[in-house]
Amino acid sequence: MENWKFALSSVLGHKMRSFLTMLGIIIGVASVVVIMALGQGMAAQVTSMFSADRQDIQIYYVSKDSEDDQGASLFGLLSSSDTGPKIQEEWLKEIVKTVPGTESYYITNSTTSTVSLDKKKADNVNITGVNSTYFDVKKFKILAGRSFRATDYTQFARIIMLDTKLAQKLFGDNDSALNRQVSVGSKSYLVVGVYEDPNAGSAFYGMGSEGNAIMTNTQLAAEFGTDEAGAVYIHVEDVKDSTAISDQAASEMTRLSGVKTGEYTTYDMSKDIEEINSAYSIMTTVIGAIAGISLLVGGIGVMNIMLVSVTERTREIGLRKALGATRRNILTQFLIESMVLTLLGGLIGLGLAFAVTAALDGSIESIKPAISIKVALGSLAFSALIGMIFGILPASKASKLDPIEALRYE
Amino acid sequence: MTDGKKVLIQLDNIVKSYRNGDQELQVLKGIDLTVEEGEFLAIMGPSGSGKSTLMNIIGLLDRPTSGDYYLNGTHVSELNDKELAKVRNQEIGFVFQQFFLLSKLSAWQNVEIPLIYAGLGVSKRRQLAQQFLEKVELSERMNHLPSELSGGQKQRVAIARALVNNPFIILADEPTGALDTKTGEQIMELLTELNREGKTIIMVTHEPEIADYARRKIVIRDGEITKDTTESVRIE
Repeated sequence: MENWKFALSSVLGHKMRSFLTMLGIIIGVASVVVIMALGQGMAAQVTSMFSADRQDIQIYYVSKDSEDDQGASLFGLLSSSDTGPKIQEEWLKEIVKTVPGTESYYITNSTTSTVSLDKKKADNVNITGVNSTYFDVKKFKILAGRSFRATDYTQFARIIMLDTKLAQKLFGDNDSALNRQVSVGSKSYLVVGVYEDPNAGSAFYGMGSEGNAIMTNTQLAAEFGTDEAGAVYIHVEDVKDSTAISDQAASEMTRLSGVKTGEYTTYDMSKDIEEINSAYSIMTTVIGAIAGISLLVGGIGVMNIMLVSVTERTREIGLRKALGATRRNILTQFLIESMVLTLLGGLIGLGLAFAVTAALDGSIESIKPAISIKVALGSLAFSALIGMIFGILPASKASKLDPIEALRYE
Repeated sequence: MTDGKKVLIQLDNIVKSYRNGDQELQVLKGIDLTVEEGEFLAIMGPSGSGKSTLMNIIGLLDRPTSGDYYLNGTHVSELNDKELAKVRNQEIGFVFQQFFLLSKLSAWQNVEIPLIYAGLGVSKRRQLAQQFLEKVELSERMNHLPSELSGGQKQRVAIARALVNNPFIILADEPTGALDTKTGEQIMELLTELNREGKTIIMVTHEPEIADYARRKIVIRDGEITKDTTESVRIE
């Protein structure tokens, strides 16, 4: 106990010197903790991003002869040529009714096209054709105008909704887009609404595109010659049940369709999440380890200053030995002092890391850096360990001093 | 010399030599010395005579090259470093010319240092430190740093530190060397008082007036005891 108190007062006795010595530890701890926090933030973001997607299970058809492609990636599936029987909306209604945990369904098809207003145009707009239940599931924010009505589908109305990014690009603001005509492909469409997608900005939406737009799936099929049901989704209540419900819903779909040449299946994203997260964690560990090198450099600085301290305090060591201190007493005293030095550095570094993560929060797109208790305590324990390791040499030098020489030392 | 009192220190043919290249320098050339409980001994001699080396050997800070040393009946030449540290802590109190107080610690914290190494708890240490600071009449300066004390006060703190573990022997190395005459006299009176209370005191000095406080004087020249005188009646 005396050792800790004395070590603290001796470290605080040379504030400037102690601070400069600690600087390496401070920077090392701060950078490792911030990197860890960013890594965890990224992993958390991937999980939450996917969980929004995983709440909507896509059911798709796989023909028996393409079973070799079963291991294909999410992206590879999109190029499947045998699309199976024409999907009936009644099947989906039946699945929602019979499979517990399912809440709703929706149907989409999609294309990419140029949307233009007079001379202004937006390229690579992702146009999604949606059925009437789509808006119940997606819960978009309607910023101006309205979403689609049942009559829009029966009348094959040529109407379109723009997302706010696209509306602002073409019209300047949301409201002035309403009831204006924009050209899509060869025809013109009436803008009935402007919306905001809460998931916009995440990787799977609008990458490289100049905006998103929504049409009825029936009109999009007619205009661009695609299937009305390009993709069908079952919406589940709780994302935790996704994997179980996926299998049930897919086999129910196969049963309802009565298809013999293939089957309906779903894609389980949990493996992708795991893979992405493990890639992030490897990356975090590697970068963290590189940042950790500065901790070693800091440790060398601590060793250096402790050697100076031992030399300066030769007489103190001699006196303590004369008064009955054993080698072990002296060794412990200097080890503790070196640990107090690095532990203080670790604490300051941790404080700095909290400040940096707070400042970074929100500044990098939707990544929320998070310092876990495990990382915080681990970084403190590691700084103490650094102090102990690099304190061994100076402390053992101190403990071996000859008391007579030490007392005579000027 | 033997008047029935207990022998505290017995040195038999103590030799200390240093090797310097192929030359061997003998600092102590076979010292025989017996000190009984309650003695007040002054070791005198010019610088380089070997008196400091003898003091270090008596204080267990140094080991003789050859010879036997019995302290309070224990053959200390056979003890290892850890055991020597314990004997220094329990049985010897050091007083140095330069006081050697730790500048960042208050008076009582300096006094308690030997008690820390003796393994006492903090409340007991504080109580004993206070008790011995009272004995040297510094109780109201307990919380002062050494820099806030005069030279005489510093040496009294150092004496309290030497006494706090209740050792058999006080070893004082030029205890007045850094003090003016008047303060030096006060310190010597304090040591005399301690001796009257029964403490054995061994003191190294080169000042005859200071040595006069001791009842027994030995003179060392070139590593040998050349004179050993005991006054039958102490001059007050």
